[in-house]
Amino acid sequence: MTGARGVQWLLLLPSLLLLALLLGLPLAAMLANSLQPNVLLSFTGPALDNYGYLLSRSYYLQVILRTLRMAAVTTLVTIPLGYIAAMLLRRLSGRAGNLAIMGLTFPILAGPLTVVLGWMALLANGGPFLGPLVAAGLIGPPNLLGSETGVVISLVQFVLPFAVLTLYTGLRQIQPQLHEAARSLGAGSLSGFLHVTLPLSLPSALSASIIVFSLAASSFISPHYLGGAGQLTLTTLVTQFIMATFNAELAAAAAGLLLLLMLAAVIGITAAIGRFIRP
Amino acid sequence: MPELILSHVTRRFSGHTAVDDFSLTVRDGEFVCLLGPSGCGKTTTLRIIAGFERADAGRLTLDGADITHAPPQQRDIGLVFQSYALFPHKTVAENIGFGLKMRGRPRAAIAAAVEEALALVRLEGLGGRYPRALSGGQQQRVALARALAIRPRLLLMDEPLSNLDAQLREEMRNEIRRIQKSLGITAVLVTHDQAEALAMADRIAVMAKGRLQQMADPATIYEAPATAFVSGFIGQANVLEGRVESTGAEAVLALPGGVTLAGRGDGLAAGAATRAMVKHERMALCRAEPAQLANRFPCQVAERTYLGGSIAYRCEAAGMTLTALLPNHPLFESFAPGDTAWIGWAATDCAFFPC
Repeated sequence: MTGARGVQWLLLLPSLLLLALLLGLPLAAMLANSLQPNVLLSFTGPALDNYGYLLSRSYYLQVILRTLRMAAVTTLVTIPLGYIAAMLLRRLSGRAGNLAIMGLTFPILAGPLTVVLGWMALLANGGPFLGPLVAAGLIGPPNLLGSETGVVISLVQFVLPFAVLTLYTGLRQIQPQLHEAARSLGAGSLSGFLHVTLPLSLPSALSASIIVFSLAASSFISPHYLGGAGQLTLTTLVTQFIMATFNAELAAAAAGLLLLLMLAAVIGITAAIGRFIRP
Repeated sequence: MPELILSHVTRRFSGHTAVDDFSLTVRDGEFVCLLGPSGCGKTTTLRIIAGFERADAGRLTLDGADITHAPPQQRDIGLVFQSYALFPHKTVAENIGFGLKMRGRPRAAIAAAVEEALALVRLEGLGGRYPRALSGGQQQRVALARALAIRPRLLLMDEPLSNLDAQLREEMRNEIRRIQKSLGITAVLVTHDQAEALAMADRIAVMAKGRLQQMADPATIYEAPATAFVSGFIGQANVLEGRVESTGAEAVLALPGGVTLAGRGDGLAAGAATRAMVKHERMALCRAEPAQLANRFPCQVAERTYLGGSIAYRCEAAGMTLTALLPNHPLFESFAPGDTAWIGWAATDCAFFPC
């Protein structure tokens, strides 16, 4: 037995090493870099001054807050939408269900850049959808391009398939008879969902929330093209530090902050949803 | 009066008719078993009664009220699932109290009802456990208690005992019957197990291919089957095919080998292809000629199968292969393969059914 287990660890070793090498090393290098002096600040030896600099200026605090707000709103909008889609998906029979899953994953296949370019056209005040409405005087110019709302709309679209697939997998593990049992005991569709389906699917809702929040907080393409310089997030801020101000140390510190905030968010989400998960 | 009436209920799925013009009346306080082989439509019938399947045609009434189109949550029908379907995230007490909670009963009333239901199924003190911490038999009891806690007008059970081991199954048979009688509740149980149906039911409805074959008390189902299907499905029978020679109170059937059999049957026509069926345990096998039996033939014992409580003999007689089941008791003669003997059966035990 012990020998067999030893062999198992041995077999696992290459992938662990690869992971340490490909993920751990660059992360470590980035974090090390974030502790180095930069052109704006004069300090000697590794210190947290870069972080202090970012955290002491209200402009950067706003960027951090915006990043968290966008990710949180995206999560709060996506999870309910994901539930609806996953529950509809579960009712579909074999072939229809497969087709629906294929359709759902198409945006992932197409790649985020392609889809975001589409959103740029669509969300423009003179775009093919909003343009006629504005021209007809039905709505005022919505000015979605360059707004937080525009970014969130495209983020929701980007992360939705991940949420649906995660929730769908979770919902499929719930015995259909449980819902029928609830109904036979007098629960309508809504109370059946609230008392049976929802609590039993919480573990997958937790996974989906973590995935969605992380994807939204770390996304670059949507805030870059749809938010622009007026709606900087931590990812676009990192790019500005690298490309515009050539400040690699501050860029590393901003990225480090993003990493820390995402870790904190994962812990927060797990604590918030995990309280409701029963054995 | 909680009386359930199904009239001409039909349910078609793409390609086949699962329930075909099915009519059934379950009287107040009666225990009815729907019995049939898998795929006979018994579970679909149960799901139609519960409201999880719609009836394409026909009508259901419960207590005189039409429930054909009522959603399941408004039918007040307690349902016990084959898989029990206990809520894994709720304690035993929460499971049992769920139906009352959905009905908006006050907390104290629910707690009292849960205690009462736990006592009814003899699980006092286990209310705080989660279903996974219970044995299969205990889970079964919780499922029953949960269905009964809402004081349903009708109790439905879908193969409730099929996941239990043999000994526990017999115990739960008596337990379910005891509880049903003590509450006086009208109940319908679906099963493919004839022993279960015979032991538990006031009346049995035998189904095949979506149709009702016979509805009667267990003894009638067993002793006087209405159709060849019921005769072959309940118990084990010798089946012989021939043509009717004469009809009447005692009909005569001629087999291809020239042998004739005396028996009884309805709707027989002279010359029509007909099947004779005799239950294995109604066959006599003895060394002396059984003169009192209308059907008797000299035979040779071909095979002996020891079954513990009884012994099955496969015999060859006048071109027929017949099985006789004799009690394993000193009063009955014992035979070995190769022995010659007499095999016989009474005309009243020989049922003729038109093919």
